[in-house]
Amino acid sequence: MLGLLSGVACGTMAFAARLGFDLRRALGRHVVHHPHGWRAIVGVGTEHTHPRVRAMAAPAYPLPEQHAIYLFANNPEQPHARFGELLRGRPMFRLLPGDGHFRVSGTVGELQCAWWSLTAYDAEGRPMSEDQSECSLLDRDLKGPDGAFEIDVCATRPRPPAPGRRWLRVRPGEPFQLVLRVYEAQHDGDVAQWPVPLIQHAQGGPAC
Amino acid sequence: MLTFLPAFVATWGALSAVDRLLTSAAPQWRLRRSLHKNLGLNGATNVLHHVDEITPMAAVDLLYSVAEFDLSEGPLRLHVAPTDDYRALQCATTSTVTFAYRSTNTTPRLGSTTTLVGPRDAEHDDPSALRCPDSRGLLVLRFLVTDAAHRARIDEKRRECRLEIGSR
Repeated sequence: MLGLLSGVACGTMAFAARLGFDLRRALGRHVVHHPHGWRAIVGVGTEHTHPRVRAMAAPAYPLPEQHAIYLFANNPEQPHARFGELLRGRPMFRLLPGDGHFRVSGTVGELQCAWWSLTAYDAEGRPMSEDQSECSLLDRDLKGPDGAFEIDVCATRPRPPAPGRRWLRVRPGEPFQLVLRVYEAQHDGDVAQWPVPLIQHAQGGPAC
Repeated sequence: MLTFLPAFVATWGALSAVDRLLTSAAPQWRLRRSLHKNLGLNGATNVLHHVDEITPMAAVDLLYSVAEFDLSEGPLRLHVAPTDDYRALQCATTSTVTFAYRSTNTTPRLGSTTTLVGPRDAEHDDPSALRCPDSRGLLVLRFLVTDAAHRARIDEKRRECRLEIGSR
């Protein structure tokens, strides 16, 4: 009897370990790390998408990357998705500290696409503000000297305002997620080479 | 040891079988659950649902209109009202494989009528019709909105969009 019970217990534990390994391996096929501080999910919305990833992405009506690509801000202190988030189908969730000050910068028009937007969400995936203009910025709203732009992502509005600088508001002390959506990018090849905006700590800290 | 190994193998085999079953059904199940939970769609087909709430991780710059379609009764005609900014039509199978995507970026005249044809109507004579691999699937319209005033305007406009069963 003891042999039977321990066989069932060991079989279940071994299978759970394999499931976790398999989930991470499936994700590994679909996640690209971008050196500008993002991780992109690629290869979704197609018949070649891994069934586990297809299940995770299903509620988002996933699009293949030639139509849209979603990049999630990295958190270097949490390189891997938590197992619980994996099981809840939220493999890309990475929370940034709400008391931090992040800056997203780039050049207008460098990323060639139909449009792109940068949006802040809370830990449950809800927008950080009910006001669209406070929690999301569109590429067309960004105009700076020489085409350069900077977006401050923090709880309090940075002073003084400078030309070409925009503010994306997050709630004080509340962890948040940052998502960059790029629709119909005109870049081919490896997503890691695309000229997406750079995200880094505003005080000169390491990039996300 | 005589009972440990068979119990281990049997448990592993049973869990693997359940996992295979769940994995193959999971995309459809999760999509259906999300449509039900977030949008209140309860299996009604060929009805365009204009999403008002922002569901978790949805784009706040987009207004979504979603429908589950069923082409077993014949082709469907989707009438999309023209709007002044980016809009796109995505068609996907129930297992979320996108088989068509048309936007104003690639199809500037998107804003009229699109016909969806199922496998039963393979001989449909409209060359511009979207041919669906299955008779059931998901249709998603996305409308880009830039601010509150624009959102209100586009929201009114998208409610003119409609789905109807067309002629074979």
